[in-house]
Amino acid sequence: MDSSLLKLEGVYKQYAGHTAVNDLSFELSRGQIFGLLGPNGAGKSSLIRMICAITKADKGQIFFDGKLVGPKTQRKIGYMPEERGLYKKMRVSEQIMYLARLKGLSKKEAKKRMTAWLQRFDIEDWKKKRIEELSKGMQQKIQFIVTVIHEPELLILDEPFSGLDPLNSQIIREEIYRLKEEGSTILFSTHRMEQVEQICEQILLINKGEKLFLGKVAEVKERFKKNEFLIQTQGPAANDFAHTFELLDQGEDWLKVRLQETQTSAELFAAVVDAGLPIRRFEEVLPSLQEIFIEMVQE
Amino acid sequence: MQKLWLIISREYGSRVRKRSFILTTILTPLGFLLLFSISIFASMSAVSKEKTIWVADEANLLNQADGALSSSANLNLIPAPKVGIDSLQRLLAKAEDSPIDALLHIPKTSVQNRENLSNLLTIQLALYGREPLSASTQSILRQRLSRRLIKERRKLLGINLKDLERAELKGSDLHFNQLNVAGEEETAASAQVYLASFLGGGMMMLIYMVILIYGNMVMRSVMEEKTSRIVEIVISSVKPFQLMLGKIIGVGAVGLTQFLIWGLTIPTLQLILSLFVALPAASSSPLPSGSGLDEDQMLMIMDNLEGFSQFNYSYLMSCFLAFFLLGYTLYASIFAAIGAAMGDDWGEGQSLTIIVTIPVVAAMLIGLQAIENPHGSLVEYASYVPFFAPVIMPARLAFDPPLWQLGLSLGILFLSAIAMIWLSGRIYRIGILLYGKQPSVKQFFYWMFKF
Repeated sequence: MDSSLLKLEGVYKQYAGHTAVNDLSFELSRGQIFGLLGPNGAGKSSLIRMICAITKADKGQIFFDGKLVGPKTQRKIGYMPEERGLYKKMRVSEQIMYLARLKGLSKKEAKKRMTAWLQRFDIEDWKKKRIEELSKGMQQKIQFIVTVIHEPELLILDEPFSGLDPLNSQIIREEIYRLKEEGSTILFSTHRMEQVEQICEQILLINKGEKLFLGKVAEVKERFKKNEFLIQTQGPAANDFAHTFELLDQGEDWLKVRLQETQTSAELFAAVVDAGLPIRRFEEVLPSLQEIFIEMVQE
Repeated sequence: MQKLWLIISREYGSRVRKRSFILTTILTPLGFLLLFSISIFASMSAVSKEKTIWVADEANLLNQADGALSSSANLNLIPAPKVGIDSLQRLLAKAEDSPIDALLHIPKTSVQNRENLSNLLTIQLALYGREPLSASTQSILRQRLSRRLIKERRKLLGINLKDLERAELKGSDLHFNQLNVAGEEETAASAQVYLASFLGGGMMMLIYMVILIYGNMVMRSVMEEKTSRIVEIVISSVKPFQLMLGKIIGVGAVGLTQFLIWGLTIPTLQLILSLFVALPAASSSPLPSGSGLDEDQMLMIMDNLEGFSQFNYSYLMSCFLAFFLLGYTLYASIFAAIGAAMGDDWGEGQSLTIIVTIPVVAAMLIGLQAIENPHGSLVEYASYVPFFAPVIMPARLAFDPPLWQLGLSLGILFLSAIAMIWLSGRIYRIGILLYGKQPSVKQFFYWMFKF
């Protein structure tokens, strides 16, 4: 079996004279958590809509499990849009049943899974409530249930944590990990890059519809690191040793230093020890995805 | 197909279970019932209490005529006891002690001679009850008296009654023999023309209302899904076109259900009510009491009832249904497209509905023309315009338009409805995903015809 679940080839999409996605190609292998990153308006949502077969690509092709995306592949995808939405007047159970059955579940199966999910989130008592009577956090849980109830192979979450309180945020995070363990592939889309640094194994950075970077988080960080080190000391941090190194910044009990290409971290560490500074912390400063992104865009 | 069915049943189910639907569906027949009962009770209350009236008939006006003294449901006419012809005073005194409402005294001089026919005729009515006689009771009395008086006067003037009857015209005796240009006879009798206008007008109004009410419902439903953003989730499972179609069919089914319920309950309630009211009355008199109908008017009504049975109802109904369904589909899909194209601002979007309201109202105006003159050329040509046909053609239906005109109109409407669903589908699938600003007209056309 092909390990790639999703494959995009030269996908291109234009809206009323503005190019939303420009010649984008990438592959997404099974069983991973994948981050689709970019600022607002980068083309993330447009791309997702094409993957979900909601809109069609103007050029290029999208394959899901080796088949062109279309009504048949829609059943295997669970999509939670950035703009959340539920029928406000509908009751919780009706809502879940309706959306589950649209995904092709039988009445019996949908009911069984709904009960299981409501139990898992401990909200069985809310079954008969109308959506408009629920709190925002409660609605988010229902939203999540309708996204995953048909056990999709690919779970697409557009800004999944926006508007979530820390508690719900944690619950959803745990569920995402659990679904991944059970074999689902998860595609995250967000402009809040710090959120995915810890979660995603692979990321695709896009801007203005074009690919900036595709790969592992560690890889991109490695590529964009600037050989900067942070030294935190116990007590005041003297900078006597620093004449051979480039001192970037300094606080009461810390120093930030940049190494030249010829210098190594071992040399720096030795120099700090030689200077007799009591070390509390010694670490390489890696750029955040946000900083990397800004640097890439400026390039 | 299964998904379409799911969408239809959600649209249908969620609406039918809505409190507003249940209320309007139940309250409308009840409202009719109330109106109907009010009108009946209003007319009945006037004669509701039985009035007992002694008739002292010195002129032998009522006594000698068959049935003139008969009582009806609310009016009890009894010959006054004989207390001696000359002693009206004694009779009045006696009446005072009796449980009667009035004493009607018809003096001997009531039947006059030739010379004083034009004199004012005063008949004394002595009241013993607490209230004066109601207008309708008076009118019954007046009718009975005047009918008898006229007869007496005819006799007086030497008019042969048989001849007079032969000279009189009844409602059905006058028949216009209408010939068309080709010299063929147009069979519609005047009563039938009247009924056809009535039927046509009713059907036209119904379709007009359905288009506006249920079309708006489709539009609101689309907007609701768009503004609540649920639409993006739904169309990640179904095609936008399916969603739109399911909505149009579901809401249409709600409309049909409502009409079916009304169509069954309103006549049933009316029947039950009229049975309650009519039964006691019918036992004593063949005419509704107090209705003030004379024979000629009755004949006219009988004529009308006959006219009603002359229509081919199954043919009318199936044509009506075809125009109903196609007209609704045509307009509902436009409404759906408008709902999808609207921005988040409801008020701003509302102005777009004028695109639909103008042709519907125009159709209604031409339809009124059609009732006046069902075969006029403006009306005929307008019947081929798909936006007008669903309102105008039903107005003409009862006038028996030529079959080829009916077929042509239906055919054009059918094709247009299909085309409109398709075009609206194209606007819909893009519009529902577009948030914020309302798109321009130029964009509409781009969406419709871009492939």
